Amino acid sequence: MKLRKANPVSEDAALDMTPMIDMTFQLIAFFMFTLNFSNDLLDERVVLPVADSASPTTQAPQSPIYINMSREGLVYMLGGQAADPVADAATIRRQLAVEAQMAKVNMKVAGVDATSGVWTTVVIRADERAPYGSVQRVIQIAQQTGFTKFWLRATKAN
Amino acid sequence: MKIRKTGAGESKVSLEMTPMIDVVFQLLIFFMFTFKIVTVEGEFAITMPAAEQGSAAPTSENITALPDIQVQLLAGENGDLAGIQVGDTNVKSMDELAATLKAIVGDDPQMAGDVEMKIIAPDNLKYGNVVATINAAARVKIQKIKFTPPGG
Repeated sequence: MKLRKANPVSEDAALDMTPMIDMTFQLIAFFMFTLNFSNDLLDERVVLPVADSASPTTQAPQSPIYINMSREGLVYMLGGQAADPVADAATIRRQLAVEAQMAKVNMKVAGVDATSGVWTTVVIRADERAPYGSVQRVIQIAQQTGFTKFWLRATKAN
Repeated sequence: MKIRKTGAGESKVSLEMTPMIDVVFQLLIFFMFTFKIVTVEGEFAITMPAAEQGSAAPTSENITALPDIQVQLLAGENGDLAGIQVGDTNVKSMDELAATLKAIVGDDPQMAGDVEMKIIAPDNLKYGNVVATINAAARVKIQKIKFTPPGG
């Protein structure tokens, strides 16, 4: 049997690049627009509780402090070091007091009265399995250092 | 003046694609690896009065006419929710809690905004249950939620 030779390959076999480049640019554009650099303070280890009426607020809080709490009830704050709010309340109190002091200075510069609490919002991202007592103690410590605004973070039901 | 024609007669101009495709793939890979699906996070905004040492919690006289709702959560050994009580009545689930709260505050948003709900929960209870309780209250538009101090 003889195999027919169909179209012997021409000398300059040019691969058509256009569709591939089109697709690649589409992909790059997609990944570029979905890229977000924000939310660096969020801790991936925390599994947030689910609540369907927790609505994301449209306006960003005034210079927020993020407090991440693990499932054991440990607080991961500014430096990333873990502290137990029950056994090691002094560490957390010290850090929060520094934050409150800074906020008070900023408020004085801005000419805002700070007697009824600082303007900073404390965003609490506690794990759903964290003991309630630990979360409450953190709120209590923050309250005693002068914070009045709190946000309890939760995820929308999926 | 005469303009010199360079490369005259060459009919095919081939664009060098390789460097562009290299760079494009680099970009693609960078964006792919930094890709992260972020779930939408909502929040419950709560305002706590600044605590003053030695003084009791502030009470205002004119809202005492409204009956306060007291929700007590009970925890099992491992911190799981063991029971919910609204006042003295037992409630089985968070949905039933929302229905019970709805029955108390009714459809009036003014009433729901004025009524005060107190959450009592033991220390070892898992925090997710407390958020679920706040969620149930938020569903019926209760806005004043009080927490008991820790140590319960």
